[in-house]
Amino acid sequence: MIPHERSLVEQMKDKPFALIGINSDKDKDYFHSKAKEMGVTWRSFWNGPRGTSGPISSKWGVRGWPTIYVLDHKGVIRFTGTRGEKMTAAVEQLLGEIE
Amino acid sequence: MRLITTCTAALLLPVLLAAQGGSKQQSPADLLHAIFSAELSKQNSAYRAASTKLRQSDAYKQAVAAKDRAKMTELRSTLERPDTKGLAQKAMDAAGQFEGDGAVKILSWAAINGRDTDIVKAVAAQLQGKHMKSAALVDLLENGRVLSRPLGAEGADAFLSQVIAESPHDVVKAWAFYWKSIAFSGRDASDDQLAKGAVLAAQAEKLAGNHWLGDKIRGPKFKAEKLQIGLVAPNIAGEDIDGVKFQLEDYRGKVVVLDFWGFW
Repeated sequence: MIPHERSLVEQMKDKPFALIGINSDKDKDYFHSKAKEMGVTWRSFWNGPRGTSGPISSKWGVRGWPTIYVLDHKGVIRFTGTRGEKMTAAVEQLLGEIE
Repeated sequence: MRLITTCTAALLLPVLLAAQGGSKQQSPADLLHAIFSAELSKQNSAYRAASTKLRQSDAYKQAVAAKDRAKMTELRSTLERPDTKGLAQKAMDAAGQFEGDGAVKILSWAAINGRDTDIVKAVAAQLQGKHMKSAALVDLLENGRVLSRPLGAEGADAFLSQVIAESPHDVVKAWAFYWKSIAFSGRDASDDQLAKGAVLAAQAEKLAGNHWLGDKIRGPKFKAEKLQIGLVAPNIAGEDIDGVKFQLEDYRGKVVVLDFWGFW
């Protein structure tokens, strides 16, 4: 999962694209050490010290991890649950819709 | 090493109590709670580091390559695991030095982190005996999931019913209603059970007020109403991992993949 996302971010770095996480690690130190090890460069909201029971995931009714939403440049939800190659294809399609 | 550190925590207690003096910043129970949490966190980190090192070792890589599960298990068994039960036992012993909310906080810590049936049972019995009116019960009830297996379905339900009957605190009662509702929401639940669960959840939501439990209960409805394909995603305003504020709407004009994730 993370290797694919890392390569997607790298591949789209000059495009109007952002991968935004909602990170649910309770322990920030652990997050930092793993992020360094795994090359996680993208930005995440922190879901707080309650981890997966944090405020953002509680409000959004997240039951499974990871949960993915793909939004177009207008902020409209266009795909959910897309991972791997499907995620890349979805992003490419939506980038094609800009202009 | 571990023994020394946890003993230190217990030995520190009188010092903490004395240091408390007139200051009202943090209660001795809160300080002890923090010490136990820090010790557990340290043991978890050490375990994870040792585990990472093991996975990178030649012996382990060979076992993985050979798909030798027995060998992998054997190698993993050499890792020193966090002594959750030992720490929880010490916390329970220490809780005896406190009254009221302080005792409840330390007992709750033991039940949540001990991962041990006997400890959960002992904590539940102490709480049911003399702490049902404590506001600090919210600590344990936020993690109410830990009760169900050790106490059994009936025991857990009796605990929650007693909380509802005796607690003067809405948020505490809200959690008790919530966990009662969850007991009716399994995959095999009948329509009748689901209906009972929904009634209990509604009571929980009402009592929760602005507490985050309300958001948790409303989550499925929020998802059904607001998170459908074709709708503009609701804004998220929060902080990144370094504490810098930002919001989802900052990214209008860009294609966004929103990913709920964690390393854990």
